[in-house]
Amino acid sequence: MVSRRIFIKNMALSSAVVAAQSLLPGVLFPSASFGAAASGLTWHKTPCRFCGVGCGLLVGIDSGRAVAVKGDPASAVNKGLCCVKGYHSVQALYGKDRLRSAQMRKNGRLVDVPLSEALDAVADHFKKTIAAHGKDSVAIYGSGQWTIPDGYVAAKLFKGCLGTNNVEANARLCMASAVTGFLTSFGLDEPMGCYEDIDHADVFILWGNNMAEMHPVLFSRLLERRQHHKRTLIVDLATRTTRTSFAADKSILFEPQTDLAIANCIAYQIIKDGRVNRSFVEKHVAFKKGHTDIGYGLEDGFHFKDEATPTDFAGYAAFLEDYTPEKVASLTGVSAADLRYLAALYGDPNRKVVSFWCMGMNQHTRGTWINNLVYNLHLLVGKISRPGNGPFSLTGQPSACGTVREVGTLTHKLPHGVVMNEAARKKAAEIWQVPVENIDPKPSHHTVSMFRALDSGAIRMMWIQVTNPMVTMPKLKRYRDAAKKEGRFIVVSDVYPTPTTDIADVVLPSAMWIEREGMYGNSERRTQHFQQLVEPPGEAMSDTLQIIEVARRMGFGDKFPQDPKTHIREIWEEYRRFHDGPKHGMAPYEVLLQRPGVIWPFHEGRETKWRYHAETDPAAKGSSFDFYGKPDHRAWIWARPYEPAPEVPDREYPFWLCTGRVLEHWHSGSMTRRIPVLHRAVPEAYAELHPDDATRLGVRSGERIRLVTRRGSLEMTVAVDQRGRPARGHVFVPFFDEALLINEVTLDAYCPISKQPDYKKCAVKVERV
Amino acid sequence: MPVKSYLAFSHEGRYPHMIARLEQCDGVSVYPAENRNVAVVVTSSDDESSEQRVKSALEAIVDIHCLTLVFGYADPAPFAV
Repeated sequence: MVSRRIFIKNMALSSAVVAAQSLLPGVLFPSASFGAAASGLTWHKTPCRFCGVGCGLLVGIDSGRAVAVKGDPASAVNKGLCCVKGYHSVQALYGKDRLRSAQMRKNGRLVDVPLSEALDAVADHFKKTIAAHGKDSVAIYGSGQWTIPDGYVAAKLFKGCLGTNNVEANARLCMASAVTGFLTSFGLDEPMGCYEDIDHADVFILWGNNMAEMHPVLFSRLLERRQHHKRTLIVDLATRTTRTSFAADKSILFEPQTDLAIANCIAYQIIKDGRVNRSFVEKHVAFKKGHTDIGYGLEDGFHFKDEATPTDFAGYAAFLEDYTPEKVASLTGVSAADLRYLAALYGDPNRKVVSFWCMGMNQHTRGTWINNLVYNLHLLVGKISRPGNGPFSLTGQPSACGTVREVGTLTHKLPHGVVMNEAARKKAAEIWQVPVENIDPKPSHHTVSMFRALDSGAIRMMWIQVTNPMVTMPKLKRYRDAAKKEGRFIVVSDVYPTPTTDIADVVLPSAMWIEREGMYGNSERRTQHFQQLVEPPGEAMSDTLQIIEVARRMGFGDKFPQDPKTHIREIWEEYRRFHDGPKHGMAPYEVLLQRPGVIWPFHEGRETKWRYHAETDPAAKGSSFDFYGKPDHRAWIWARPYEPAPEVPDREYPFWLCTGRVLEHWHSGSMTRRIPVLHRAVPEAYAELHPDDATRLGVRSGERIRLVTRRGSLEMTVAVDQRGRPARGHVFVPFFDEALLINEVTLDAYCPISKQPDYKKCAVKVERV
Repeated sequence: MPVKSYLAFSHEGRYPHMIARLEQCDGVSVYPAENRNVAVVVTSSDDESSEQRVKSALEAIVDIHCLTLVFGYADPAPFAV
């Protein structure tokens, strides 16, 4: 029992430590300090529940309840620091309306039922739907917040046992363009470097990435680097002025979608200035071009397949002639001088450069292309795969990499390889102990297509876990109406009531984060294990066990024989068999238990921090770079043009609408809005306007406006210069607020290669209310 | 039961001396950072008069360049009728 005085002293100590960490990023205090003041607590390591940075936390447990959080000084990710969401994360476990019981819809109302009855109903409905409409009439829609075991058993049940590729995850909405960018340029997914790049770089170029709010702990590492390394430069390249812009050394604003032209212009100028690393390019790069004018996925049944056509350096240089600084300046709004400045930074042989990006480049109707184009810059100058040099795609969710990208919970993927590949199917069938014929060689629906199939009736039953699509899908009304159609059956596993549980026929209460055992995989290929530290409420059960229980009820018990006490270890060791070897080896369970995360490839007891170079990567052949993801062992530079967004402002809808996040809230807000201090900080969504636009419209902060697009309208409060400042003619709205669903008005256009929707650009009219 | 916490910064070159003197003060707990010249200082007193003595002791340490109050707690004063 902690005495009142000790409790208050511990609060005083913790407050001072937080203040010190805010003033001096990276400052460390001995763990013993905390133990002395808080003698009743036991501290346990876990990755943070929220974003893709993957901060290591120490959670204090007292009398079976999580009561305190501090950053784990042993974590190489955050070195003892946390952000405001991390510090308050355990409060998300204890909201008053936590789902403790299963619910089933009876006479139009959700009523509490025993969990076993709900699981029986889910299994029974799956069997009946498949019998009536075929195996592809059922689907599972998961999440980058799924733990690795959750995603693994979902893929095994649906792809291996049921034989459908209707497996998708919300990472399609946030990371798919990064995946296709990596695959098309390098042949393998995920960054070649790691966060340690920050400690070696001289220049950070942030492409549409408000790191100060979205990845605050990593951003503090950038600031610390600048504090101790005076040559450091941070350049914020964005469409909106944010906290990141204010902290950067230089802020450059550009017109939406024109990042494509900017990247090509930088490449043009690098070549013109003679800054190409010719030796690197000759030995390690191939040049390709693909299709152009590729569409936007707005039509049901849209289909596109890209093809790589060889070209050469001369052909690539000729393609770039359209992207001179003067031409690009008029298109982008970026001055020719700034474009040359960016080229000079990338091209300077004496500066190490890291490019960071996240949703700005990925939620883009040419998301794959812009990923390719930033890789082009690093490849032209040879600044890649070495400490302090590299392109780095950040993730938004704690296990978008670990679960969705590595386990492969996307329609075309398997834990190793793709469903189209016979060898990959055979390997999966062998490990899963299912007939290889069970695994369909044809991908089915990506996320937008899956919800359109729910609308058309091709999909009749969908199980949604750890995600909130009735807040996050673009053009939301269409997909909400689809889910509510007669003959559809929706199962939702979650921890709180949400707009998605509102449309459910069955709600399964989930055990959350440290209420169960699991693993997450973060942006830098780091796998982090966490133990169960507290009991889940009521009948809440982990998503892993929910899937196993349904699988057993459907007759697949022999494929899911795990012991409830050791099932996570058993699943992990089975999953590891997919990734054996120096290119993607995963750490044994015992190693994960001991360390605050392990970077893969983990080979012969060592992490691989930088891939594709023989000095740091055991899979690389030769003595220097080896881009072994491609058959020719070369990275590919792509000639990709600028193409406009599908919907641009016009006379009727004269503003750009951009959506995004805020520091205090995690995505759709279902957890952080139940943490009082975070909710009070940002209680509702708002519409940011430029001061000149607000004046012209005759509105001030706190007054109401109506946003109207071709999809619908929404009223909300204006915010002028309160956090970010959009450019003139732009509106920014965060999407965390389920009472103000901005996705009612967004557009469901997507990148034809990655199939990731663009939430950053559509045309909107602003009316004073 | 006043409880307060501070961040303590020393004058240039006086950090070890500041830590040593802080550690000699009654009612004061000192938590030096591992990798920076900054310390967290937590004071805990039984009443206002002993709190004043602690405060005076801190003010007398000449090696302290800056002492920033971060957290303060005191029992609510009795309601007078």
